[in-house]
Amino acid sequence: MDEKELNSCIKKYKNNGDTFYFEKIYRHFLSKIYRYMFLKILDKETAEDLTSEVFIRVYKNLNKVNLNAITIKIWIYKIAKNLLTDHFRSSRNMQNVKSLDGYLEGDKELETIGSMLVDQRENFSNGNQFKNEKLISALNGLPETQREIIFLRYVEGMDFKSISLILNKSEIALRALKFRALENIKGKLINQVLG
Amino acid sequence: MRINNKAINDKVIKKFLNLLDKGYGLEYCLEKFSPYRKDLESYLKILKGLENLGSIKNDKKLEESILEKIYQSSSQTDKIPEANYDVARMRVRPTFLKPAIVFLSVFIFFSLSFAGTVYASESSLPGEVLYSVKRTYEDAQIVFTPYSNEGKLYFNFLNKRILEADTLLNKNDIINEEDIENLLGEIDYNYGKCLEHKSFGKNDGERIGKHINGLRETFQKRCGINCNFNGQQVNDNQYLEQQKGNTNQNMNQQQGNNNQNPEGQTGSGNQNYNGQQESNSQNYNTQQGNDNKGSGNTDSIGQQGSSKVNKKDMPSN
Repeated sequence: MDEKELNSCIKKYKNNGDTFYFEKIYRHFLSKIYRYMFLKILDKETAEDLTSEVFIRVYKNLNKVNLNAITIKIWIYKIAKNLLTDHFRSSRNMQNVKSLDGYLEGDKELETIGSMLVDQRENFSNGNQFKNEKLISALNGLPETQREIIFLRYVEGMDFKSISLILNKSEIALRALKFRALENIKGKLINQVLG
Repeated sequence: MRINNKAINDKVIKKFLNLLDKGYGLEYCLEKFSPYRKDLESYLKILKGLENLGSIKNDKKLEESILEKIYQSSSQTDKIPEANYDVARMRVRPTFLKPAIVFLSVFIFFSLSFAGTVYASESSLPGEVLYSVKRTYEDAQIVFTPYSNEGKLYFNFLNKRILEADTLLNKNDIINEEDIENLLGEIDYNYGKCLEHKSFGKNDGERIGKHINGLRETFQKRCGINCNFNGQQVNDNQYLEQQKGNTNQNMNQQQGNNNQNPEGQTGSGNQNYNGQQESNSQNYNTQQGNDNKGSGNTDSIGQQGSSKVNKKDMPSN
């Protein structure tokens, strides 16, 4: 769904309250929010619960706010981020504290990730690629803000303006952080290969 | 020539990533930084791997189950009772809270200060600033007290008025005749009310009645001694001189009588004289005692001076 279609869906839903348009918006964002939750928590059931909670909030409040195609994305991601923060706070189960070793040794969760990944990988000149498991573990070893930037920028493909609005940071600061985050990932991956 | 320097690598990587961010094609970027192609490829692998993570998708079952949950939750929210809704509205509008707190704090401050003033006025006497507060509070008490309990209240007020009158009359200070007359009037009124409500005990009525008469006598004496009708103090020396003059006249009269009377009657004349003198000295002593109390309590130099004069002029028995 492109921006124009999304805008018209938002307007029509606000005017008519027709759930058909809400379902269109919901389907557009569902996979993105689920992915965001899953890569942070690495637990399928919790990710599903939190995703459903995000969309319940969206459904309850969508009529009360004036949004367009760009701002609705930022709004939904902010809801998801806040819910995640609440979840981590309540369960004291911060991902950067939790050891990822369990997930890396043939864990079921990683198998599901592998099955979810669609094989559309492009081959580079040397043909080598990092395994997704290693990449996920490196990503989760990053500090919270760096992980957010990498995820939103390279997994979701958002522009820096939107990311800055979601994370409440300036674009310049985000660019610097992104570079540091990539270097960190590279260092962690090299360590994994050497280790 | 490629230079293997980390600082340069950092700059190159930044430029390379910035070019990618700006939307330039991958091959274009790699060609531009061709000397660093191998190093840059490792970053590209990471970026590509991250992009691949974007292909993680949810089950189709999840899509439907979440939709069901959404519609269920919306139907539940419709049944929320109004009380909860009001609480939510109050939270949204904290502007009402601030003036309410200010009003409450001001109200509490004034009520506490009023209570403090009423408490402080409990021991006030007629002529003092807080006495009017005390009387107003008492009037309000009568208004808000049911008829069956009024007797107790009037009895209480009667005791207070008697105590005030006692205090004022025993004070060696300028007494305002009007105040005490009003006070005695109040005492009579309260006494009458107590009789009306039958709030006296068996002998209380008589006892208090006698005490009131005693107060009235003391007031009359005190006004004769210390006050003229306008409430102005009479000089003690003048009063004592007048008293002395009276006793001398009496003595002369007695002496004249003694000279005229036979011997057997002179004893009675002396006795009379002595008796008179004793009574005078008793009165004087009581007055003197009051003077001493008053002078001890007050700083008035004039009063101290007058008490000294009284001691010198005190008639000897």
